This record gives sequence, C-alpha cells and structure tokens, in this order.
Amino acid sequence: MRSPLRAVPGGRESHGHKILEIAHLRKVFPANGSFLTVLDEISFTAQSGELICILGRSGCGKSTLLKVLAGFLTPTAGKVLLKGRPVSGPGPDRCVVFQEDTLFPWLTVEENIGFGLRGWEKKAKAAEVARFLGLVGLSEFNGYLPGEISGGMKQRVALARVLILQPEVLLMDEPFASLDAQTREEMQNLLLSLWKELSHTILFVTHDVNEAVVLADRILLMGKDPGRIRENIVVDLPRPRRRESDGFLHVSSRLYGGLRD
Amino acid sequence: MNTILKVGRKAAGMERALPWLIPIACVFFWMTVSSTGLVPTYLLPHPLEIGRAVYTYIFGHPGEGAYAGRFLDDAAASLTRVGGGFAAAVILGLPLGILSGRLAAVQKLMSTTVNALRAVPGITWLPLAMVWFGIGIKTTVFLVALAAFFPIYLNAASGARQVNPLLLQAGAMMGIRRVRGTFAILLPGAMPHILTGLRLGLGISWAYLVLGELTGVPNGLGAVIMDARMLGRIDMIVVGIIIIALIGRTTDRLLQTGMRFFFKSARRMT
Repeated sequence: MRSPLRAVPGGRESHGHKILEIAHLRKVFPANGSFLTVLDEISFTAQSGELICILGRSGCGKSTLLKVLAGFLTPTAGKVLLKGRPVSGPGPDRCVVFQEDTLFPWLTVEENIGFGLRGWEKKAKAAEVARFLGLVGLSEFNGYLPGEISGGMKQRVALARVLILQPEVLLMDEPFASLDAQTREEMQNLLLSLWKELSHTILFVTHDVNEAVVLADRILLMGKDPGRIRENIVVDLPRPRRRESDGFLHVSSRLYGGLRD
Repeated sequence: MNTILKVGRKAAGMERALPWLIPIACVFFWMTVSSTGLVPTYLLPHPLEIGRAVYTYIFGHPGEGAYAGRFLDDAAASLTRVGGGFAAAVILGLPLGILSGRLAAVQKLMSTTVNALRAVPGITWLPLAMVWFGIGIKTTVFLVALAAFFPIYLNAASGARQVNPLLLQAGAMMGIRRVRGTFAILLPGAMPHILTGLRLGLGISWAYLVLGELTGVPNGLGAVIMDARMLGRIDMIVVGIIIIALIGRTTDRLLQTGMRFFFKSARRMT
C-alpha cells in the first residue's frame, strides 16, 4: 500500500510549470525599539494548477507571508517571482480573498463581481458576470446588496469577483474562518469544484488542520518565532476526501503533532 | 391577513402624520393664545393675520402694500447668495477634507489653522467682511462660504479617514489604481459622512445668509426681517421666519434627493 503521506524536501514537479517562486524570503518589523523577525528563510515554489495550504498556528506569520505575496508588504530580503518576474505591489495577477468582508457595500452582488472587469463591452461583461454568478451559485441574488446576504454568500461573491479576473495565482487568507462549520464545509466543496473546473493555482492560508487536509495537494507547515516553513507535506489522498477515512485521520494526526512541537 | 394589512396601513399613515404633529400643535396653541388675548397681537399677531401677510407677500401686486409681491425677488436673491456661498464651501471643503482624511501631511498642515479659525464665531467676520467687500452680495457669500466650509471639510475628512483600508487594498489587488480608486472606492465609502457634512453646511448657510443680509442690503429674506423690525411690522418678521424655515427644509430635501439620484452610494448607504 502506498502511503498517503510523504515529506518532500523541496517542491515537486507534479502539475504544470513553475509559476510562483519564493526564495530566502525574510520580513522584519520594527517593534518598540527593536526588530521582530516575522518571516525567515521562506523558500518554496508553486506549480501551476497546484492547491497549496499554508498551515500554522495564529501568530506564525502565515498571513504576513500572504500579504508579501499579494504585494501589500515588501519583503525585507529575498525574492518573490511570478512566472520569473519579480513582484512589486498588488495586481490582478495575484488576487486575494480576505477573511474579512471586503465587498463594496454600495454595490450589488453583480456590480461587485464586475468591479474589476474594465474595458469590456457592456453585453460581454454582463454575460461574464452572469457566468460567474452561476459558478458560485448566486444567480438569483444578483441584485442584492452585501448587507442583505449571509457571510457565506459574501465569501462566494468575494471569490467570484477575483476568479472573473483570471489571476495567475489565487491567494486566500483564512477565507472561511469566520463561517459556521456547515457553511465552511460547503465553501470548501465549492472551492474544490471551482478549482477542478478552472484549474487555478491556489495558495490557501489556514489554521484549521482538517481544512488543509480536505483541500491541499501539498501542505506547508509553518512554525513560529520566527515564522519558517518547517515541513513540506504532499497529501496524496484520493478526492473527494472523506474525513472519516483512515488516510485522512493519519494525515491530520500527523499535522496536529507537527503543530504542537 | 386582512387585519395585518389594515394594521400595516394604519401604521404607515401614523408615520406620515407624525412629523406634522408638533407644527400643527404649535399653530393650534398659537391660535388659542392669540384669540383669547393672552398674548397681545402687537407682540405676536394672530395666525390668520400671518396667513394674509404671506399671501400678499407672495401673490400681491407691487404697490398694494409695503411688501406685496416681493417674495420672488427676495427668494431669488437669497437663494443666489446661499447657492454661491455653499458652492464655494463645497468646492474648497470637499477636496481638502478628503485629502486631509487620507494624507497625514495635509492633516498636519491644516489642523491648527482650521481649528483656530473654527473657534472664531462667524459673526466676528461681519465687520471685516463689510470693510473688505462692502454691503451687498459679496459680504453675504463670503460669510456663508466661511461658515459652511467647516462642517463640510471636517465631515469629509472623518469620512475619508474611516473608509475601511481593506476596501482600498481589495481595489488595489483588482488592479484599481489611485485616481480611479478615489472615485470608485474612497468617495463612495466616505459618502455617508460627506452627505452629513453637506447637509450641516447647507443648514448653517441659511443662518449666515440672514446674518449677511442684516447689513442693509435692499433685498433678500433676511433683509425683509430686518426691514420689518424697523417698520414695526411684526407680522412680516414672522413671515420671514416661516418662509426661511420652509425653504431651508426644501433645499435640504433637494440636496438629499439629488445626492441619492446621482450617487449609488448615497442611495444605498444613507
């Protein structure tokens, strides 16, 4: 029997070509007179079409890492290359789904989804927005305002408004953390089906072991003080993954152990 | 079902009547004290007399009486002054406010000056304004603009400051650069505060209009009030007050409706 779990020293050329390359990344913040190293020696690569989860406890710097990749923060040292070109500043090639509600409250669901589409002919734009409304299952809610829909629905809109821009890499910062357990599971399934259909490269930050095991091709386990990638774990479980299966439990108990040390 | 509908309709009727309850009660009270002679008419004329004065003021022909038919001229003069002063305050206050809400340097640059000037009561500027601009439209427009500037500036600044930075980050990652972000994210996000500032500014514009017109300009609603005092026409003072109240409320409504018509953010967030 093949073990569902393998620790691999570097990245693995399993999917397509190398799309994102992070080398010797370091982020230091000045903190009351001294310096706080939040990220240190972060190196990994992501292949196109890969779904990578960055798993760590709160305060390990995983969100900071995502912000650096998104371009909201500049690294102190090291480099981030997207398709071989260095990243400078935020841009629609690396879209973010935030944990918080960041929809524009004065725009309807469909206006939010079409917000980033510019230079499109009106009809084509409407059709594209309608397609993505359908993909996230919100066709009937096109005219609602964000204040009128639930938290889960808001995250669907947040997902649709970035997927429509066809980013090279989708960055997700604990996007489902504030949802109830059932909605969270629904959203995970939705993300997986969208990923299957649109085959994006996804970097997904979470502190939830089960979430990581359900989603990831590969899990980067982060340690704290300073934030480093401690392990690079390929999850070979067949999809769809059942939470009760032996393989699932095996991987998750291993990860729980990893988080504790 | 039927009962619910009925109750609903009753509640809606109630809601529509509620704002008029106090004005109607006041008029009723006023009529009582005037009719019974409790308050002598040389201090406060009877409401019917006021009604007649309003009618002559608006619909009368010049020559019929001292104030007959002057309404349109006076209202036009006053609206021009309020409009001019308010527009100047918006043109200066809104962009400066937004800038100072977003840029620490602008905020630092402006804060001492704005707060010092704000501490000076607007009326103190009157003598200086009269020396500078003489008696007439310029003085009034200057006073109105000066007074309306502060609420517009301060509310725009706090609105811009309170826009969720994540919304701007979200815009940036969707490829929205600074200029478009300002119009597509920052201004709509600050809209509730901006609208509050505009309404406060417009309200205070009417107050300073009267102040400006007290200086002896020949026409305008404030001028009528001052003129009537000197001629002992108490009824016309009251008429002036009532008309300013009505026009003030109407312009406030127009401002709100206009903003809601033109801006999604005003329509959907206020």
